[in-house]
Amino acid sequence: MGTVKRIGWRLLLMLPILALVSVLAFLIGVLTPGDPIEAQYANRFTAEQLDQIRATYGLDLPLWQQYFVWLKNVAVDGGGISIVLGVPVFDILGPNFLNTLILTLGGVVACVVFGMAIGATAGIFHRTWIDRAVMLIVQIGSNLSIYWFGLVLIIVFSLQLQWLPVGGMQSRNGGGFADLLAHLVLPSLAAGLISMLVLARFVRIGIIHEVGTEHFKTFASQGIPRWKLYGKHVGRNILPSAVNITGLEIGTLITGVIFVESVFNWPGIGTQLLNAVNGKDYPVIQGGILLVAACYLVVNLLTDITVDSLNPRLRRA
Amino acid sequence: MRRIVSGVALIAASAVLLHGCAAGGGPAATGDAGEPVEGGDFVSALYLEPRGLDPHRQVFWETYRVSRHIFEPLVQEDLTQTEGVPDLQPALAESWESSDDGRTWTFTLRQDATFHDGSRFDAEAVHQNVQRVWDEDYEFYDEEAAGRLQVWFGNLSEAQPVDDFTYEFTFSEPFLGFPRILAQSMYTLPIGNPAVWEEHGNDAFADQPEGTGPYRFVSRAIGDRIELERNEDYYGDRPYLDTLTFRIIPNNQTRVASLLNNEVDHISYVQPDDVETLENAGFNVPEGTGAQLIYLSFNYDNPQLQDERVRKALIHGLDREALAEQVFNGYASPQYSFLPPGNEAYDPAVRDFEYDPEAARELLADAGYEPGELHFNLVVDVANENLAQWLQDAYGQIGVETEIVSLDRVSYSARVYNSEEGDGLSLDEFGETNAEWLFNGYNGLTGRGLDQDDYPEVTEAIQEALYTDDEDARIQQWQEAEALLRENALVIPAVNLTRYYATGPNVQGFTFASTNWYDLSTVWLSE
Repeated sequence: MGTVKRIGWRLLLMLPILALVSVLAFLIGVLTPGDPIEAQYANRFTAEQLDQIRATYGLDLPLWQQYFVWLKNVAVDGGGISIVLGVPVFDILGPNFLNTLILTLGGVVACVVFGMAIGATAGIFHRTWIDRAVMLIVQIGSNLSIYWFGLVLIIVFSLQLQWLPVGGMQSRNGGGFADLLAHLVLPSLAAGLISMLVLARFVRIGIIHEVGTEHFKTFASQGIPRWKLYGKHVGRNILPSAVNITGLEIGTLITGVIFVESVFNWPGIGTQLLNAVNGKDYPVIQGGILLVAACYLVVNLLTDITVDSLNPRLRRA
Repeated sequence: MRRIVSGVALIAASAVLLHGCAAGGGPAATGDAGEPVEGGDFVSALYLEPRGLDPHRQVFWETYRVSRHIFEPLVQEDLTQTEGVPDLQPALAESWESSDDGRTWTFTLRQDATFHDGSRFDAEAVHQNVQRVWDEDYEFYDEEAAGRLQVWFGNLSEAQPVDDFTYEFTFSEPFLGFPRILAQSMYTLPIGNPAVWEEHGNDAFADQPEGTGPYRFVSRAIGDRIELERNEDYYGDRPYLDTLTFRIIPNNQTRVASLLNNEVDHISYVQPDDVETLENAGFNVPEGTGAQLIYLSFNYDNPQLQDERVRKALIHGLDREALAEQVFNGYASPQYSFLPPGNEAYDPAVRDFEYDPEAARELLADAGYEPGELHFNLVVDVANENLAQWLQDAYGQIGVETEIVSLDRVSYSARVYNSEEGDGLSLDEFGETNAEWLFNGYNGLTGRGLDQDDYPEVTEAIQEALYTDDEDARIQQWQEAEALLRENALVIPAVNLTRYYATGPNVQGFTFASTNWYDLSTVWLSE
């Protein structure tokens, strides 16, 4: 199959998945404990008045009808109106979603850069104390709570060393790309932590495996410098699986981002979802879940395309 | 109140390492550091996302702490007062008086105020505000706002301008508490610019809020910040600060860390564990008493708690001084009245059923419960788990078995509205300065299953105080109503938080007012 055809096929497959996800997102919103209207207005209105308000939000319709009304809202009406804040859902989620993407991207960069570096260090120095020391740190790191790790980063790098800001996306006197980057460093490290350690393990194993192969031994015995072998052969062979792992890990990373946003006060979609859940704000919960799920699907597609293009055998086929 | 995680201790430790020596507890107002200087950008960190900035729809104190700098009421409370009942002061009304029967209130309006778009503030503008929340024939009648204001404006029978700068309200019943209610934050009538809703509609008002206040709205990014700038045309004293930014930082540790790292100048809702850290690092954590009360609500759907003896026993079994000391590190004061400090009818001398475990055990035996026989659930928000554990221990000592049901915030509020069998106590927080607040608080108990018909004497006493036309007897009537409520053991008042805000070392002129909000127009930055 040609590349274009493969991508087309994947896109087509996404449609039923998206439909399923939309049903799930809708149900999760509706099935959240509690009643948004009661939470907002109880003690101030009579039962009839509450019913009236429910009707204005269409909450008196049968579930399946509510679902289609919601789909229509998503398609043409900005995701419906937030029950708590009274503005269109995508007006709330849009800017925050962009912020979450920025943080996720930061997390991915941290994951790839540090994951590769840590894994390569351990792999290349396999069977030495360096490997053992690195792997011990990896072991410990994998079991840290992101929330706790985030606080430790704040204490060390913000409060003690005063190198980096505690939270938010901009300084009080605001603005600029460098300022944004400064705010991005710590949350990215926290967001990327778990994934980078997973990636590091794969890279390490990959290197150990490649170094053990016959062709590597043959090349090495011919006197080709090691660094050349690592770059040209080992690196090339482990790259596709590294990309694959990174792609898969983005899912984990997005989950972690929600905690990271809370610790670093990053104005992202996670904070909004938490608020929405607290206020039982159905439309925002539903819209948020749909956005995150769609994002995950797109990332998966991009990962597959990247893996394909890194693998010459698939490209020629 | 707070959630204990290892991070708190870590932040505390690091802050001490970082800043070293102590500064000591501060008074309610931050001290003088020479002459006030103009200028500067002030950043405050809120613990909750404010709701829509609409004067007639707003709920939550955090919303009003922002919006009161944009909208002004007709009457305001003196926010420089740190103790007792704050005095009423002219705001958009220069003076006010009631008719002898207490049903008609006439307000003389100030003539030099303008809205942020330059248009004139006058009686007609007040009228449009009133119409929006009360007159169903008005084109921009707002059902949502009207529903919220119903509690105080339900008896409004007539309202109209008398002349360009005089406005008159007439109620079907006497309403002596009206001026102070106008000075409150929710379910009342701060004045917004009618031109905005007439042009953009009621729903869009919160996106471009305009009033007459010392600051004007610039922008809002939901989940991040709200920005205000000085109103250069303000009729009153010129505020010192150029801009006010309210950042939303719900995470307790991050909020404190942001202050410690000078990223913000001011924070709300300081946690008891952080007070010492902040003071040691040279920050001000003013001491004060807001008009706020943390109290335990009975679940009246639970038949065990419909027995007055059981409720009394549970009040007798609670050592509130120890609670304030042990759970709140002493940064709270024990409370025995359902009226919070700062309330007009608050009497610090009243006592309900004081700590007496022996009396508690006797009452329980009288009600037919041997030690260990009475058991129910303590339903709490996960953030209050430590308080629940403390209660569990305290009640264990009077032979009451409790199980802690610790829920996330969503499930918590859902659970207390729709209680399950076996649920016993939950935790609430509320309070205002007006005596009429008791009516609100009492109504709130119906949300915990209380049927007001079961306590006709309390209900009647509250109605009587609400509609009294005797100014001299009014406060006393509210106190009597509160006493009845207290004697029936309808609620367990617990504590009032005495440290609530913290400010940076260079923040001057901030006052922890004896109500639930503050005035930033008198604040300035030294250095």
